[in-house]
Amino acid sequence: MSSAPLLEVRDVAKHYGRGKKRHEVLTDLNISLNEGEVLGIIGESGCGKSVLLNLISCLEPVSAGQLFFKGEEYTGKKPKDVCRWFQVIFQDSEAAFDPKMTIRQSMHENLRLLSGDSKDADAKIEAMIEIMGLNPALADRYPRQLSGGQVQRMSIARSLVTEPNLILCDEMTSALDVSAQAMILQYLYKLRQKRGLTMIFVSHDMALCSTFCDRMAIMKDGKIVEIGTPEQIMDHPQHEYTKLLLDAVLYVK
Amino acid sequence: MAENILEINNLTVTYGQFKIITEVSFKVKPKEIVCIAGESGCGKSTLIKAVLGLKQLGAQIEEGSVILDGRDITRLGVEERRQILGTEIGYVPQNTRGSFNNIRSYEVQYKETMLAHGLPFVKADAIDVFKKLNFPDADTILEYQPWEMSGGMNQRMAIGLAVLQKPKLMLADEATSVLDVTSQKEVIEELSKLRDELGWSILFITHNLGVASHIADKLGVMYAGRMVEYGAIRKVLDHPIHPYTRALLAAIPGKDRKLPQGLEGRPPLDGAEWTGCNFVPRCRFACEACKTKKYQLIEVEPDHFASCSEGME
Amino acid sequence: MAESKKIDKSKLSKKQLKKLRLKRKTYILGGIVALLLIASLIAPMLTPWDPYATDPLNMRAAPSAEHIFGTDYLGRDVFSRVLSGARTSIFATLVLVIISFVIGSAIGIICGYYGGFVDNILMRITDILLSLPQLVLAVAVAGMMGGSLTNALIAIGITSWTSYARLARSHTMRIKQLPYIDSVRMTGSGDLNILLRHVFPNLIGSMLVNATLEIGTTMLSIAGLSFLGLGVAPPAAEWGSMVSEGRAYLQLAPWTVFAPAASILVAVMIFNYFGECVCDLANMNEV
Repeated sequence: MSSAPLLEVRDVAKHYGRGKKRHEVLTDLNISLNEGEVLGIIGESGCGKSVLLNLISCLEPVSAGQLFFKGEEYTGKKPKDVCRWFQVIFQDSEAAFDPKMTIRQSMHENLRLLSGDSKDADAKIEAMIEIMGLNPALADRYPRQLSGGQVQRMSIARSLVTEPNLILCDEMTSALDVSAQAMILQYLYKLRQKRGLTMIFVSHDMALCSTFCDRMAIMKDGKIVEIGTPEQIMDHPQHEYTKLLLDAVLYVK
Repeated sequence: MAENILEINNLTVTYGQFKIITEVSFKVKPKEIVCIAGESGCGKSTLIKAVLGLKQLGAQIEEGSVILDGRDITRLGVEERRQILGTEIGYVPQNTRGSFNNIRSYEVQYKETMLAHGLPFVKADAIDVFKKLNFPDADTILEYQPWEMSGGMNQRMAIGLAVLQKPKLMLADEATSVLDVTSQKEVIEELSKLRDELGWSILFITHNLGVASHIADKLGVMYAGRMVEYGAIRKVLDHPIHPYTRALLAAIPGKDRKLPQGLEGRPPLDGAEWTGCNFVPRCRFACEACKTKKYQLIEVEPDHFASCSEGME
Repeated sequence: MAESKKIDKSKLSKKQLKKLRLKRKTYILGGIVALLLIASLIAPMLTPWDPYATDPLNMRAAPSAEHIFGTDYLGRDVFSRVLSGARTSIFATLVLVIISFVIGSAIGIICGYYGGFVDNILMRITDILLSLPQLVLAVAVAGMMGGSLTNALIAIGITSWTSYARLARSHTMRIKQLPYIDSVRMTGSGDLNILLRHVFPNLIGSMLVNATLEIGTTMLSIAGLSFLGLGVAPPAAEWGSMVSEGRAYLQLAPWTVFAPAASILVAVMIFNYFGECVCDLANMNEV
């Protein structure tokens, strides 16, 4: 068991439409991810990186290929079968909370649906919010009453409180200020050191990924064109597209 | 042409009972790109709106003046304001999907905008501009509709439209922050090129100092409604004085692949009204004196001002 | 934005002032609406005369201190009849609006959320219903079923749910693609839970606004059918049928027509104005 990777995506493809309207989004995608690893997936809008997350989390069915979790195939299952393993963090964090519920209510619902018992739910929720560096009193606010960075940290806390095996982040920080973004990375980094964290970190920001990920995959038009450690990708890019992306990174001069 | 394209003198803007901007002054000279950086909520977008006209926002200019090319435009009427928008002040918004109607061709929308400003629309001129800006398919691009284009291309079409109107001053509000990295770079190169070739003056608002460092001549850092550091870009970036400027710089992922350092908290809503330094609650170097010291920009070296002297040796 | 408890008016921006004024207006109108409802609810206690008692000696009497709206061609007190008619008119309207609200929303939410075949069928049905003039269809249906209040309500109800269904459907389609629905789905939640707890509370606001705006129209439709003799049958008091009854004596006793007609006018205006205020307020809160 332990030898099998936590997540394996084997020859996965996805297309929309039929006949003439057929539109390939992902083709022959292979990813494997070990426990405790953070994989960055980098690509520009339209390259299919968000679709990939939807496929992994079963929010959409795959068109071809197989998905494995700890060596067991789970292709074609429903979100409710895999929701204990995966949690998704979205770019638009405010929209990721029901606007008519307080943060605490949303988190309670997650806990209730995923873990069943809610005896020490409040304690769990507050502990997790504190780990993300926020005041637990903020949990009684509505999402629109918090700043973007705060809501995003709340949504991370919500994902973590149910202790999933893998966290899928979809452009998690790109709607935020640089300082709020750096804050989130710091807390995630601390969490990783404290209790281990397996993540797929989808982003268009190479510089950001290179500071945080163990491996980076460069995606273009539904294919992974290059995959490697940050050192390999940033210092010795092989593929033309990787070089192009690297060239476009705006470091502070 | 006056010495300064845009002059903002001692500007104070209020919204209801809140001050959003306090005593901000700076100038944009011809052929100059001025970047204003800061977190969301620091008042940088309000600054742009103050130049464009605040009517719809419910905000009010309490004090100070906005002078465009020698003419005071602080309190223009709706009609006069409409006349200078587009022709004298160009604007590239953050969300370009919203600035074009998605299902009508660019040509129709270009024509409409030009006519609305009393300018003639000559297709050949537009194509010329596109060629100068290295647009792909410069000859046919006008026939496309916005939904067929990427966000970056849309943004560049918005810039193209602004170029045609030949404004004296260009305002860009987070014009690149929703774009992909490659389009972001293209837009930035475009704007620099416009400055070099057409002699544009640009006021550029961003939260990312990385972007600013690639485009700006002057850099202003705003915090909670006040300008905390201002000066020539190289001087500010090479020797940042204010702790906030340094915090912003530390938050950007660098080439060394070290984890960026964040800054806890957010700017106080009423920060503009504080008597002392409003960065105190988040500042590592704050002392008792900072809480009462009156806000004031000090010239730390020629062409470099800061409201705090912490970073000086 | 944090609001201090004491609101200093001079410091409020124009928009906030406008909102404050609108709020006050809505509350006042809401109060009037409530008063109207209460008055019609306890109408039997308020009527100075029995609305059905005829008085052959006092037929078509002009308004006086005794009969403030006069009497009709059978000597019945018009004021009492208007009051007890309010009960039929207003309550029938509310019942109809509530029923079509519930049915329409349910259908709309289901169509919007699941889409596909069911959605197609139901939406084509609403298209067909919307393409027919509402009142003409109601007249036809009520005519076939015979005149009674229930039949009139059914006749109007056949078309009135469609506007709710369309609105609920489009809102649901917008809401269902928001990330928070995905994140609820990632907790393994069932569809019913999503619809009831996460979709419905987020569209009820605009649905209620629509409902308040519909009250006036519905009230007019019911009065219209009664006027044509397809709604409430005489001698039961209802504003539409009272106008119809009094019509023949318009020249001799105009008050028998004016009183119920004015009541319809005023009631519809109050409900419409109230609906508009609620609508404006809702829009303002969203911005």
